[in-house]
Amino acid sequence: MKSLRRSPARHLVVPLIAALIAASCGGGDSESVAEEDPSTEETGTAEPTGGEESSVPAEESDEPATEESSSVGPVVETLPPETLPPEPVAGGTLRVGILAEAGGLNPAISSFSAVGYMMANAVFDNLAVYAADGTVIPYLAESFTPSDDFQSWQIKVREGITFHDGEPLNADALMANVTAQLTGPLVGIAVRVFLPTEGAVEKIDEMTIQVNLLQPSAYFPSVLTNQLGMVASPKWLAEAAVDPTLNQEPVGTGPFVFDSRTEDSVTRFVRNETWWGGDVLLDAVELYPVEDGASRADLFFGGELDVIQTTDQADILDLRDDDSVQHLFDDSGEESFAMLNTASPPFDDIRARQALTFATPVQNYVELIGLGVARAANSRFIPESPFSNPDVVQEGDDPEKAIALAAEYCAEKGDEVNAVTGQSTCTEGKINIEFQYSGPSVVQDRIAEILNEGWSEAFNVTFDVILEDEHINQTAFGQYNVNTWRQFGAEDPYYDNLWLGCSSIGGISLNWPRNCDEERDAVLLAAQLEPDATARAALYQQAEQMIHDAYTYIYFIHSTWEVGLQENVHGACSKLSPEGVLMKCAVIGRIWFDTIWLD
Amino acid sequence: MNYWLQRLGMAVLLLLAVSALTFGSMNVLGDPLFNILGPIANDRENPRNLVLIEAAEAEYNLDKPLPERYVRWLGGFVTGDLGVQFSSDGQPPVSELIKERLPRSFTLLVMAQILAAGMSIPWALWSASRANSLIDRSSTLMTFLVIALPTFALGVILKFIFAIKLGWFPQRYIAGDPTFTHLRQLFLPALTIALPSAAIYQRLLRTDLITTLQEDFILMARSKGVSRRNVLFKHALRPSLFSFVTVFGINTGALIGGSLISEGIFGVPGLGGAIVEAVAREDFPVVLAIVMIIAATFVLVNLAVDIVYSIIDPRVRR
Repeated sequence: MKSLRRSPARHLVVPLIAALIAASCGGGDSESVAEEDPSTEETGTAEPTGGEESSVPAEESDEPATEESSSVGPVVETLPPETLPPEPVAGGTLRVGILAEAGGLNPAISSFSAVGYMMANAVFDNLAVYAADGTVIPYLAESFTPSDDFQSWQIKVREGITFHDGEPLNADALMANVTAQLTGPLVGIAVRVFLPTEGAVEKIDEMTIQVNLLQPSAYFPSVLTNQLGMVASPKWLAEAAVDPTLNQEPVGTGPFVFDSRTEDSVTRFVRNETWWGGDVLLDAVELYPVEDGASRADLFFGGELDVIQTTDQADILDLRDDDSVQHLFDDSGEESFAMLNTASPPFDDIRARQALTFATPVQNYVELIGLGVARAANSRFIPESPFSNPDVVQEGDDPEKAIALAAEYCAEKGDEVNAVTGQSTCTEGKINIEFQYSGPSVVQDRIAEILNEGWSEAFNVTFDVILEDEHINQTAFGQYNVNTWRQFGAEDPYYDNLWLGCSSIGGISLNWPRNCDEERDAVLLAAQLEPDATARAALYQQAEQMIHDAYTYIYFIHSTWEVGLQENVHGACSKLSPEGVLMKCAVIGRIWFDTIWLD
Repeated sequence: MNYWLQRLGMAVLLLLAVSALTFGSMNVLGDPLFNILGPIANDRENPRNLVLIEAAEAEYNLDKPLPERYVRWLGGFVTGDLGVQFSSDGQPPVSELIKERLPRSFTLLVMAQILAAGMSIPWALWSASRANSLIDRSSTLMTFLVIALPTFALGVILKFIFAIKLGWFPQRYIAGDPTFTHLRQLFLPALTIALPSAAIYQRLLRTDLITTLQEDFILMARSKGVSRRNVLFKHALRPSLFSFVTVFGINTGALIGGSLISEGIFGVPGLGGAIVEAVAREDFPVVLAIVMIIAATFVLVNLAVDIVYSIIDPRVRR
């Protein structure tokens, strides 16, 4: 296997396979796709989240969990049980190979992708985090307290914490962060779904603020586990607003302090000697963006990197084959799917949407793109999730049904105009559609070929290959018929309401298919107010059936993420909250650095 | 003196033409607002977004007519202000990016050209002195092989042999390392660029040398008993260098931003990668700055080539 890994031919082939897997969402041509995709801004898995636990002060949290006793939920494979040497060793530099370069590192300005989160983990702390069992627990915050109607939440931060520049963490700092996020051109789009533009935040006392929500939610703290919960120095935020170069030199409260950054080469963080969370063992963390999956794997297997993240199926198989390598696998954090624009013909008619669904060669996609590593997806949740509805099954591979539905549609509406192509919606009994994806990308072309093999039974498909930025832009403005995308997988599905609600439809629509179902919205709202975990799961299962019945998404696979760690890297998944609760790790390739040590 | 003033004037005109064409095409093709504001750049119907759009347009002069914008940009450029990057992560100065990346690309270029010249001149002398022999024909075959091999394949092969298999060189450039380490890290990327260049230089120089070696003055030298080595180095080489110097000059200008593939394979964050990324993102201040650097390099190197001509053959000055 190693000789295969070193083969030069593989250097040429593997990038194609890598991109094949990482594609969708506009595709890009490699794993860097996610980097510029706003839909991947959120991280997390579809774990059950006990909102009620998150609403109590940290002191009242559950008993401290141990690594042995904690479940990691839907993370399918985790680190094998380690035989740790008796004492962790301080010192050393951890070299991490990441999928691509992150854009800016300002949580109020930059839309973080998976690699952005990886870097931000070093320098920022979140107000809330996910415990290994999927519950939301306070971290930088001391407590979250909701109002009786869940319309507002009070966030109290821990005392005695300072930012790397010496500024104190207090209510004023939180206010500055929320305000900066609300006004940020990109980040603000996501924040304004949850918070009003006016009166979103109030100072209660020196350490407490109150956040007023647009819609009541019993699960609001889950939003603070992602970028929106990262707290930056208010002084730095103000300085970065004047000097944008500072967006690359983040200042937080985290275990590592920014040291240097050369974009497209290396970003280095050094140990924060006075970190509030305790002793940090590593001297430094260096993150190297290596876009080509094969090169990244070569650097790792050649010993030039200590840790890599990958979505490349071939590299995942290599990592699994090497007994000396530790690996963390996760397929709960994202789904790959096709998405149909319901705002205009032909997909404003459910028969056309059903026809495309039945015509989709789902099995071929799973086999040829999933390569036996990725699992077929039936919905936005992996089967282990309590929110997953076992009755919801992704249809496909049924051309006869597709042909019949297309014929029925064309007989009735074949003279309508497809606004995207400017042509009639049907020709000779087949529906005319445009399939949009980002490129140029050999991988995306291959996906298009696979899909077209099935779709061409009932559809005349034209292809629109455009740059990723433009692809996102046109999707946001509804200028497409069908495209491929990568999204969902939030640990707490409350965050994913962002992509589903009627309120997210507008000039710019985050509900990309522009499919409004007020009944579904009511179910989702009920779910975000339901304190009982079982009842809440049932509501999400109901919503999942409704999403399926709308035929707006055609799910392909649960996107795969793997973190490979050298044998001498320890403690990657042993981070505890201040109250001693084991925290979740390795979702979409994100690990904690402060507990890692090298022998 | 008039000749040099004329050349200088031509160079300035050329740079103006390049800048005007690049500025015009980038502005016609792209929408820089999207880079700055993201999707809201097109959402003029939303009053809140319209305020942001208009503010950004005013700040970056995007609401001004194209000629006025060009003049403003040119005014800034000649005073050393390259403008700001159009990025959604803020708008840092373009000069910061250039300051960081230019030295790497320049070092790579110099190393590659030194390697190429260092390989091609002895190789051509050796081949020309054995013209049409089996060795020369084998050498010709080898040059065609190197020229025909795509750069990406050559880079991958070199990386596989010397970095992965033998471990003599690192697989990847790391920006934070000391300068001496950088030279070692840049050797393979430089060699990837140098080999095809060396093969082309060798072909040109060999052909010119063979022609020169058939001249009467060479026959005279040989008949006077000058050694073969001296004939080659002292008599034949200098008058054979015209084509070599011309192509060397043109290639130097091309390589300053054109070493993208080698930079990509070995992870060197240089100007090549920056311009491709900037074109894809329609970040035209960055594209303009790099295009101007490449154009200026072309002009300067060609001026230098003219000077070298006059050294090789003083008759050129007349």
